[in-house]
Amino acid sequence: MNKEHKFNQLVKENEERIKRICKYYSNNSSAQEDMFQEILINIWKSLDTFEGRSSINTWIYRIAVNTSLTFTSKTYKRMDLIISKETNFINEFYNIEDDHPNDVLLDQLQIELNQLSVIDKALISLVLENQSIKEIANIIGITESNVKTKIHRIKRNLKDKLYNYGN
Amino acid sequence: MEINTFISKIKKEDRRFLNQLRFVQIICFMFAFIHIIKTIRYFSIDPSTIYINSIDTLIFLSLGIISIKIYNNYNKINYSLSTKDLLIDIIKRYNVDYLKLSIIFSAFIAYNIFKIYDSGNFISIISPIVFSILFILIIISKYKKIRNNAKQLLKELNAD
Repeated sequence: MNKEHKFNQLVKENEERIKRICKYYSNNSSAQEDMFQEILINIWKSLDTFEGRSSINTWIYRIAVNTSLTFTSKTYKRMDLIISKETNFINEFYNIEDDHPNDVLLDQLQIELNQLSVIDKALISLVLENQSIKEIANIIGITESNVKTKIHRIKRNLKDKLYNYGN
Repeated sequence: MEINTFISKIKKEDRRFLNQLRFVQIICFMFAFIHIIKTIRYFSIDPSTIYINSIDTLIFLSLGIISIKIYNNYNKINYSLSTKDLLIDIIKRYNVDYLKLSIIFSAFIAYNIFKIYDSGNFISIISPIVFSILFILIIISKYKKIRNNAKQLLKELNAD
């Protein structure tokens, strides 16, 4: 299979997933499109190195997360993590059982998420993608216990801060 | 954007950048070769020219080798590493080698401007020095910033 064919197939199979990741980092459609293209460029550049040691799922997420950490960009520290009512697994971050948070809670959650560090935002985006602790550890390159500790700390902090907004 | 259009666009971009680097390599090695010939030729006429001609040759050879390194590095960028490994790679990539590169390049520019404006007046001596210092500072600040960002992220990743 040649590179172009492999690339086409990969993009076709993962287009929705990549677009969803892009939506976490911007609510501006043009910025999302730019990031989508940036991820595709990096997939293209890294395609020759894919040896199948990690799953394609992990491989795609690695490229997406690494692209989102735009080291050379002046704005990387201000990178946002955008959520909406439609975002999956959002109820992981507040205490109430209701799957549909009220607007005040959602707004406050958005504010709190944007206060997180760049690495914490990347971790949360993977939680929202329903990635397991093991998969997140593979994507980020740290131990499973480290991932567990970090995610637990973020969730606990968010739940504490959002306690009054959900009731 | 249609995916095939996108592929041809990035292939074109890759080709353009790599062609530019190839062009720089050819020019550098061509000038290095010319200066080797010049060194040999003028040595028999005036042996004191060996130093100045050897410096010219070394500068062009160094630039040629550096451009080969950049060419190879460009093809080795791998975004599919884990985030931690990518950060370590970035810290290595933007290390002191780039500082050496900027110093050699600046020395090359300064040296050539010296030769062109070798009129002995103050401005012609000071301006290439100022130019090279500014060039070095811009390169250092740019790479240092990227390296520091990567270091900071790595530190945060390693923390519990």
